[in-house]
Amino acid sequence: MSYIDWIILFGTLLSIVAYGVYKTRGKQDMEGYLTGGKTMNWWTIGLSIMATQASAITFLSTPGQAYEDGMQFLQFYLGLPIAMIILSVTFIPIFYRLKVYTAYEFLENRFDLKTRTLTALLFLIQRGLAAGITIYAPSIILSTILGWNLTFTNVLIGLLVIIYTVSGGTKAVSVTQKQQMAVMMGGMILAGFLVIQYLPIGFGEALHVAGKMGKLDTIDFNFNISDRYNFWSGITGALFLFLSYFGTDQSQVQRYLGGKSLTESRLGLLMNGLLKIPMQFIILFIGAMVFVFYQYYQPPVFFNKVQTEKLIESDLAPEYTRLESAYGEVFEAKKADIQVMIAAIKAEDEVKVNQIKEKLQSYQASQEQIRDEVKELVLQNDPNAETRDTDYVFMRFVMDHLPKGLIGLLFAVIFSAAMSSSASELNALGSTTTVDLYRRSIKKTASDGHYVKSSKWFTFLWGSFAILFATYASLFENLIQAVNLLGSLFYGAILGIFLVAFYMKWIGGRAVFIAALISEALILMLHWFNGEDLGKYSYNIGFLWYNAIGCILVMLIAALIQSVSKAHILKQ
Amino acid sequence: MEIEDKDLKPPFVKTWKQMYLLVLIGFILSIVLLYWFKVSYS
Repeated sequence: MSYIDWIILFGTLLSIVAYGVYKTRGKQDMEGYLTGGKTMNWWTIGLSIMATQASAITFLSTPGQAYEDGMQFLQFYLGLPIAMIILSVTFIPIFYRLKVYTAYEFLENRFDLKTRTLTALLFLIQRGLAAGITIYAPSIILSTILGWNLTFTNVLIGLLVIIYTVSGGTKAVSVTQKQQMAVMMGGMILAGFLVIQYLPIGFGEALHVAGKMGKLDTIDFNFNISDRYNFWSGITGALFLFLSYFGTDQSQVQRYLGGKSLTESRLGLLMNGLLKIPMQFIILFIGAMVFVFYQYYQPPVFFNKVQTEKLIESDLAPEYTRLESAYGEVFEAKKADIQVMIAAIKAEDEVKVNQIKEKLQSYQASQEQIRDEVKELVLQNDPNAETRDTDYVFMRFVMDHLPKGLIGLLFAVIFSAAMSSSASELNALGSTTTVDLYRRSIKKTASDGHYVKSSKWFTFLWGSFAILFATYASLFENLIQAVNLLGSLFYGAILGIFLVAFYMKWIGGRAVFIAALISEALILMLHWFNGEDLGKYSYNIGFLWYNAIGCILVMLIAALIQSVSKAHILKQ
Repeated sequence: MEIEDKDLKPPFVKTWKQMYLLVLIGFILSIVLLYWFKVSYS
């Protein structure tokens, strides 16, 4: 990177941190620290909600996913607008009426202390681990690309976030997220615009190339329970995930509880409902355009440059060079046929187009086979190497092809995204520990100032834990899926508890508490055996379904326990 | 604690039902557009 890039990168990051600290200077009380003094308008809330959900993983992994598998991942977000409407009608008015700091306070009001504590603990476990991944995921990739030490990168991201989150609380998180969203979307749109400019063909032709090669398959109406992403898993499984994430995850609830009024909070959520699909579309579409770009300019046979450089310096170099030139030959043949296909599209020759389409698919298969062989070489050379390189696709493109200055801005996008989601997480972890555990069960009477101080300390401790976890975590198969999987394992039970609270008024705390414990154990077992060879009992379920299953299990088991205990009491 | 009256009215439209309907229309429109996008270029 050039010095202009470094100036842009560090200038952006440090000015955001300084702005967050400056805007929230002075003494704050408990309400000010935990809810931002309820001063936020709807668009600040909307941007804050979007920035919280858009982690660095979103910007690193998503274009790579479109490059590899096409835009089908977009269907994951189809349940989101419906979830936003349901939450606006049901959850938010109740949180407002009860004037709660955290979502879990409501559960004590409705059930009892143990249900509130259990739900808060489930949240803390799930979100605490996820906070580590939120820092670790971009760190591993950024440290590789920039040649930095992994621990240094973890500590850098973690420390920058801790500075303004501890000092300014919820308000600091929200005001910085506005700047971060501007950097993120501005940088991505600029990058997308440049990819299209760099293409040697017109935009319409690029769409045909991407489409014919299966990269624009945005919607799949075929129902298949083992499919990770289709229309049905999006509007059902993902709907449950989003209801739980936005309705019961304190890192999101805290964003809209800071609204000036119920109206502002509702509008913030609805803004997210309207803009999230277009936003994800843009990010995935950039990935699809990077794919088209690499149909005209030869892509690296393996996107992790550090690993290929190691290969070149090893005894395996001749084999690697042979594979690389074979990859180049297939690339040239494919490029020539793409031109033939474009001519056939212009001539409206359907038969020819379909013939070339089949040829292109076989070229793709050959290239994939060569890539697999290179991955085997990478493993032979370094048995600990990560062979999945989709997370490197976008940043490799940025480093190799974008102009000076923009490279720094794109790195600022990734760091900003890492900071924005980590900040919300640490803010929520600190608040929940203070309000639901410390103030409720450990030190019940103390001054407002004491709890603000405690909240700052807990935020700091969670931040340190996240850095420590990030330092010792090992790379998951796919980063974005690791976070979603972790959420799916716990969110179902948490959502089930809240839905029982809202809609099954005849069920008491004891029944829902036992039901939540049983359901969580069943979900963990279901995941443990998922895809395992169990003879005729083998099954394969996409993890998004855990949300729906966990939620329904809590509701059914709670209803059963309540009915049985009621019958038992009547009998006595 | 009652929610204040100003909280019960959405901006731009008369009722919250209309507001939710607007979001739903946006959602359905995006599905139609995505389907059209897929069919047109695949």
